[in-house]
Amino acid sequence: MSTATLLHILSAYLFCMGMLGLILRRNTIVMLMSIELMLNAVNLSFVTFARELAQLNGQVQVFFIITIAAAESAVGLSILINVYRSFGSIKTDHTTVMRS
Amino acid sequence: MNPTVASSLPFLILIVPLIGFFLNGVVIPLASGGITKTKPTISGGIATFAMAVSFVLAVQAFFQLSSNSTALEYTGFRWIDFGNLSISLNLRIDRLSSLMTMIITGIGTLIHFYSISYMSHEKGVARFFAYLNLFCFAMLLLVLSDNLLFLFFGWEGVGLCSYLLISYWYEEEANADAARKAFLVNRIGDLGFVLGMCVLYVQLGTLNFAEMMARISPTAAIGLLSLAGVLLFFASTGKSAQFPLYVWLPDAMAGPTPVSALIHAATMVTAGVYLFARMAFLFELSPELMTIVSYTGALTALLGGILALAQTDIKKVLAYSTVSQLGFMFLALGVGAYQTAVFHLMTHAFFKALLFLGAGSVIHGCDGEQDMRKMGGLAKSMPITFVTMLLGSAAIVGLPIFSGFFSKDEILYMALGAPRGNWILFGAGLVAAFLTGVYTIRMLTQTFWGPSKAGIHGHESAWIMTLPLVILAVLATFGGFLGIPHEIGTWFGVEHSHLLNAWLDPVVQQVNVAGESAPLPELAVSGIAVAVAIFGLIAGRTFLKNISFENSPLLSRLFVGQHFMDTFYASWVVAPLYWMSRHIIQTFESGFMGNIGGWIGVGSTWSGERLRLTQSGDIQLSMLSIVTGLAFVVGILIIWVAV
Amino acid sequence: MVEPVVAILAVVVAVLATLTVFSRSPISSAFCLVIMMVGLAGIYGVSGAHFIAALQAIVYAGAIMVLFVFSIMLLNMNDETSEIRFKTWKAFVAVLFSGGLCVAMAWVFIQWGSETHLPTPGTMTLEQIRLVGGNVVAVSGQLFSNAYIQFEFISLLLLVAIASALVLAKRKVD
Repeated sequence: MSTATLLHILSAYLFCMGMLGLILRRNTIVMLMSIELMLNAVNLSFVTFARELAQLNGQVQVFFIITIAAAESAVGLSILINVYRSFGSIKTDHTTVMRS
Repeated sequence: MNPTVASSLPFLILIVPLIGFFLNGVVIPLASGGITKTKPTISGGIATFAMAVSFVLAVQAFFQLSSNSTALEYTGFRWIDFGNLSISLNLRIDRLSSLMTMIITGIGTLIHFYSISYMSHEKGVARFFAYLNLFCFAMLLLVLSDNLLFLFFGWEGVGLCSYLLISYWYEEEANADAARKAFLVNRIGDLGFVLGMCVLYVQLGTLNFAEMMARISPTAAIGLLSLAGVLLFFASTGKSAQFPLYVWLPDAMAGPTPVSALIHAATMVTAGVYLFARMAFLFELSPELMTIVSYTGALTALLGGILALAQTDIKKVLAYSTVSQLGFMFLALGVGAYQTAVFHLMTHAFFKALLFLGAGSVIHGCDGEQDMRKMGGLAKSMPITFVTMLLGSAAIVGLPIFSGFFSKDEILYMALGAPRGNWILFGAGLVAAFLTGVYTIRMLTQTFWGPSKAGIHGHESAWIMTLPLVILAVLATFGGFLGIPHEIGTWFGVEHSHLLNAWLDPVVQQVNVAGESAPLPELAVSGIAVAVAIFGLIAGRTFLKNISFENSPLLSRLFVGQHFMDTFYASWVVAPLYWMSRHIIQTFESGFMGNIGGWIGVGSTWSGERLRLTQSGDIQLSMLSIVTGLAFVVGILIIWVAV
Repeated sequence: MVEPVVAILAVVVAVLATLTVFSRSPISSAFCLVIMMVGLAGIYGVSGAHFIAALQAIVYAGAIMVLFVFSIMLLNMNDETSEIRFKTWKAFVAVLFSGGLCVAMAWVFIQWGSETHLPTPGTMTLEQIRLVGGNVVAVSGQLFSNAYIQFEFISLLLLVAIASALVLAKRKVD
């Protein structure tokens, strides 16, 4: 098994772990972290493929993904703060109603 | 006149009534704050002015045609263009259209003018005049179109306006019923028109009259073209009130009298005659069809005459008289005398419009009374109406020098002398002419002579109503001189005495009657016809004056009121239809379709109750569904690739 | 052959990712995540993606995680009760399918991950990158030549994100 294959398997593992966290956790902040985990998995996949294929496009793509992740977490966290203000909690089982 | 103006004349003639319709239908009601507040003088003035402008333009087009050109053509927009089908709103005035246009706009102007006074007691007359103008627009579109499709639009348009105007006093149930009856019967005929148009398009690949005419000779499929002819004839029996679809016309008298004069006597009901004259090249293909047409016309002429005898309502007498006269026209068409039919169309438009307007004046003078049994002795109190109606009656009966004399005698001569004519048609025409004399004199006697009954004395109408009467009386008296028979013409050394035939020769076919082949010379026919008419007058005046069908139960059941065609339709068409519908409702609709609705409802409720539970707002559950779906997709892909 | 450093880092990252998901308190999740990010940065560095490694450390481990920790502190979430309910059918299905997906992907990579199944490699091998002046120079060159429009759009996106974060987090006047 080559390094690249190991890293791909790691990427798959990270992705599935993020997915699992998204399903199992009810704390919205941890769910956001799980999303970051999944994004990181994709990044790892990109970087590995970029090295395997001797191209730089993958790395450029990772640059964009990191930027979008930053934007996403900034917006997501500010939404969380609003949710906390409205519901007094950020657990998803407390925030099942769309109307306040 | 420069060519641009000349070629836009058809468009202008057509568009001016439409502008009038727009003004009366939209602008005037808005300006006067509601349609019920519109004034008859303003609305009627606008409508009459629009028609007058149209008439002046029509006269201009007439002179344009008579001087040099064969036809004035206006190229409008292209409406349909796909595949081989290309339909444009192209207008075309040739000699036939020009004649029709002048009749429509000329008589239209007079009747619009007359209506100003006739409708003066009504509220919201803008609606009436708007409909009238719209009718004129549709009728002009019918005669000006150069293709069958736009003719059909006009055909439908006049049907619509007829419906709207019959039910003008829609508060009364009977009027609305009459309008619906007219509309439905016309629809039955129009189905034939649509089918005929489809057949023609499939066979010839065009709907343009000139192109159809050019393509029709080399076409071999005569059978299908004859079918198209039959279908168009069926459409004409609906619109022109021929047997068996004439039943709507007497009921259509529920509308205001000017409407009866304009639509149900002078113009709309002659659309079928115009269609035959226009499409003569098609109908001439099947002599059998034309034989049927001539016998239908003869039967209708007889039937209309008989039924007119039994009527007590002055307008119904005239309505059946119209049916009878239209029968004369179709008799002429059937034997191939298209020009003669158009000639009778013209004179009939004059004298029947006159009679209807006169009847309207009588009704107006008697404060809305239409029953002739309650009238009498009106000659003294309504002298102008009396004299003009007398002239109109002389014209319809066919006394010499009056217009009906020339046209009706020509029809009788053609019925006998034309190649397809025979003694049966001639005899039927003579009997119908006799009946014409009887019912006309009966109407005059009951209305104008004798003692006044039921305390109705009447009063002469205003000049606005009598002026059109006088003008129409002049036309009805002298209109026949456009068609002086050749034999009489030669007496005075005039070569082309039949001006109408000379005018129509380039566009409308006409059978030739060789003088030697005719069983009787034209003068003899005229003599017989006049003798029969006068005999009818005398008979009506002396023996049949107080003819009444009420004493005989059988005759009254046949002719008065619920006459036999209505009964026939009710028992053989309407009742089975109702029976079938009722059974469909009982078995299919309530037994099956109704339950389907219930089942769908129950099923939706049941599944909704259960599916609702999945919409819990639980993000985890949604996420789980996504993952499950993803897992299945990936699993399927892997199996797909690996196996 | 697997490079030993990468193998060690991979094991560390995997364990930390698991801890991130399953630890009770959000704050320890966040710390595990930070260390995992750094581990990933190490993997990137070893893989020759120096620019991305630096970004990973600065943006993720630095900025984003600080934001997370700050939010956790701000919302004062000290509730340490275990919120994961393992005994439900949902958890069972989730573990089943996620695990299945992971195994499937791993199997796919092992089965078809060899170079014979890959498209023809490009020209930017590690030696070539070293020749043009290093990874940072090469990626920046790509970024500002081939992908400059995307770059501008991304800057616009960041601007929008800043504005919307401001609007959302602002205390409503009521």
